Amino acid sequence: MSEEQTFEQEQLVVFEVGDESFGIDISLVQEIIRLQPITEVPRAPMYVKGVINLRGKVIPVIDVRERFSIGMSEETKATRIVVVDVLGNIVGMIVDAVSEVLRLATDSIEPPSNIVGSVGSQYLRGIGKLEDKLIILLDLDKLLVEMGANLVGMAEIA
Amino acid sequence: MDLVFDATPDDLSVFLQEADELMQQLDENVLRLEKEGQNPEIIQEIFRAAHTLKGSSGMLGHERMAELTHSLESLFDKLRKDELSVTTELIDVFLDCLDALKILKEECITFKASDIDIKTLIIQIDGFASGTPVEVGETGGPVSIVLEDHEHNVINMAEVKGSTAFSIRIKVADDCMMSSVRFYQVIEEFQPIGEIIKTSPSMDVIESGECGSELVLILVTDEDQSRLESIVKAVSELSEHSVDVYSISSDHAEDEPQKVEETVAVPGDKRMQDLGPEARGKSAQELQQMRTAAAVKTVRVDVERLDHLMNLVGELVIGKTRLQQIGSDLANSYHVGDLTSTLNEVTAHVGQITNELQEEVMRARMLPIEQVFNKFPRLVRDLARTAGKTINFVVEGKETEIDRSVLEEIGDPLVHILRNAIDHGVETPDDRKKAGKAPEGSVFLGARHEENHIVVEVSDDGHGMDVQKIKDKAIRKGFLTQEAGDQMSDREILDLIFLSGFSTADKVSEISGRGVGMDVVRNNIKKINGTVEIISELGVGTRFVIKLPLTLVIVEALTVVVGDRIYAVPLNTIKEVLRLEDGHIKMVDKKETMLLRGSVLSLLRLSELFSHTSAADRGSEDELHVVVVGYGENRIGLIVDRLLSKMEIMIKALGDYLGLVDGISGATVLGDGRVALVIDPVSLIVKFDAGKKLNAQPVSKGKKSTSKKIA
Repeated sequence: MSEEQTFEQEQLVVFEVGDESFGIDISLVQEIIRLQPITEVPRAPMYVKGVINLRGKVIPVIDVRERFSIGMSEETKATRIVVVDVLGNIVGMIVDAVSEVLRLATDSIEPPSNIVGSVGSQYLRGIGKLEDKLIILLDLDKLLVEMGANLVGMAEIA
Repeated sequence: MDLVFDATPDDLSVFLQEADELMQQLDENVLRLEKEGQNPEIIQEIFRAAHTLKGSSGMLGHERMAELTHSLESLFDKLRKDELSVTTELIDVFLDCLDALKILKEECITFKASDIDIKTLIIQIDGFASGTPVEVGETGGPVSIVLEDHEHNVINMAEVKGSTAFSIRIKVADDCMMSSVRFYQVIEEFQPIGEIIKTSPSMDVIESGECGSELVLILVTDEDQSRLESIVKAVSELSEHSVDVYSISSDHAEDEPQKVEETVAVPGDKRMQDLGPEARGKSAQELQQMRTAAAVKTVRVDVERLDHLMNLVGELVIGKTRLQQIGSDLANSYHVGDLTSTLNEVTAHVGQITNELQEEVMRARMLPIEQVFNKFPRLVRDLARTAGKTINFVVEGKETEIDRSVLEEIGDPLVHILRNAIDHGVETPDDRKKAGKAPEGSVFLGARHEENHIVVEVSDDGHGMDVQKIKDKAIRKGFLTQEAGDQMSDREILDLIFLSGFSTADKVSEISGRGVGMDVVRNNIKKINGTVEIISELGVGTRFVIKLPLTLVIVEALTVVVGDRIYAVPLNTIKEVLRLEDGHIKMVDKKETMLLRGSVLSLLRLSELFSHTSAADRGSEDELHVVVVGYGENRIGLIVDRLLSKMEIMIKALGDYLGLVDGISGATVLGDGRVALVIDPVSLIVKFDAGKKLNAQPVSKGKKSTSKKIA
């Protein structure tokens, strides 16, 4: 096994979107898959790219770039879909690349108040500091719930 | 107050299931009893059901239910011995008891004691029971005590420890004003010297103060008989008393022959029927064992497990479809060799087995619609009574089997429809006579298989619905313009009552109330891919025809191509498919329509609706197809580029995250692994109609945000 844990740590999946690195709690990540054909869903918000077939399950896919207005993403060999399971909702997130899985000491995470970035601070859990870079920790609960609430619905026509 | 039951969750669920069945049986039988009067067979069945309920609720430690069923049991014991006769008052009290039992049953789910008052009920029942001459013998008085198994266990345990169980019977003098006080006194005297296992009447009844003149209690104590007798003697105002050693075996010996007779004689108990004649003459315990053995043939399975199984089978069906496609692709790309033909063979075999498996699992999920229908006779009776109408309620096709997910959803809509039929459909006896009809109205509820559907029908022979009035009202309320109203067919107008808010606001005579909850009716039915139609003739009656799918999960669908997309259209909604030719499309009121056998069919371009490109955008209208979909009399034509194939699909929800998308009922995975959206013609038509005829809600093509929950 790895080195002995002497202080509290978080294990993160780190992915890249644009020039920034994002981290999400590894326990929320169900799997990471290559980009695959996406079926568009009418009347969904722009950042919802549509639905994909994940081994027989139909799951929605969102584009993190468009969500955070980082500009349109271009498909490359490194493009991946990070499939997360938040409160039983399985959602795929299109990211430019998945870079690593790492452990981060809890005390090297700073609250989100003092950062400036393309991402609204309400969706952040904090900023993780490593020697050479900063990792934006996303609060998926909030992010996905928020997005769910913004979705276009036409339910009221009975 | 929280309740604690002496049972594992499994025991509880078995109990609940059993209780449900028994209560349903009671419900049915009580109404038959009311109709047929003193029918010994029915009384026997009720007695038996009450007895079983008493036993199992006692086992569970559900005391209040045990007490109530005990009272019922004694009452029907009297009825069955012809010591009492069936009266309307008795039926009413019995119905109240059934309601109370249902509430008590709920307690097993909520674990909270409800505030239902069973004492009064018990007093009422006992009142009926004692309303006949009862011979008070030396040994067997009217007050008897029956111990449950767990109470026997307590006694057994105590006997092992060297204590003795006594049965103490006292009778207060006739001139004693407050018998309950004396009972209390006796109980208080005994409490310090031993454990009181049970009293009859129960403590609850004694507390209420209305407890008759006799008390029996079972006491486990280390004291001897003479000591107990001296204690009883010390209590004043007692006319009789006895202290006997209570023996479990003697209690059983008295009980047994009777029990055997009950269990064998009742034809209603299917398990017992299965046991056959050899069951006769066995002791209750032996019978219990045999019953357990017979029950082993069936297994109660958690519903979730069945659902999961169904999902897995759905996956298998998709896998099968993919395999078939790969097989034919292989055969096309290479010359048919040994390998490809073997593959095709295997695929065919797997396909066949998958189909059978699918059928079996589907069948396992099916339940007779009886489960829902059975609660209606009571409902109809109560409603009719309140409304002062006499109604002959006929139920047919109870045995029709239907998927349990469909079953769960169909109850509420049917209640609404039946309620409307009775409240507003059927006239009062006087009105009926004036209209030249029989004073007794009739309401029919039926279920049957029809092709790939279940059809549930509710009809009444009441005064029907007045189309003109509905139209006027719709116009007055602003749902409809005068011109639009004039163009609508009668059936379209009748459909208006399903609109939410159509009829709840003001109470306009005959037609009002017809719309109460009608939007709920349609929504619920729509939710399970069903359709509902109204056929009504003024003065003759109204018919609701509900069409339901056999199953919700796997459906047959036609896949169509629009631009670069593939959509699946459920086959059961497709009326016909046409080839579109140049000049077919006519513009009416800026909307595309075409003539189909003389009637106007509105057309809808899926590409436009879902804003993407299609072949039609590139020019010719030739080669396009129109898929005519509809429900009831409603039709709409969907313009598509190309028809692909007919296949079985498994509809998957888009998920809470995406929520409901109008016109789309879900998604499905195609043979090649791609995802296709499944068209929901019903919501398309409703929406289209809404845009065409109703001012209230314009067609929303733009983005509109509503809040959706994700959790």
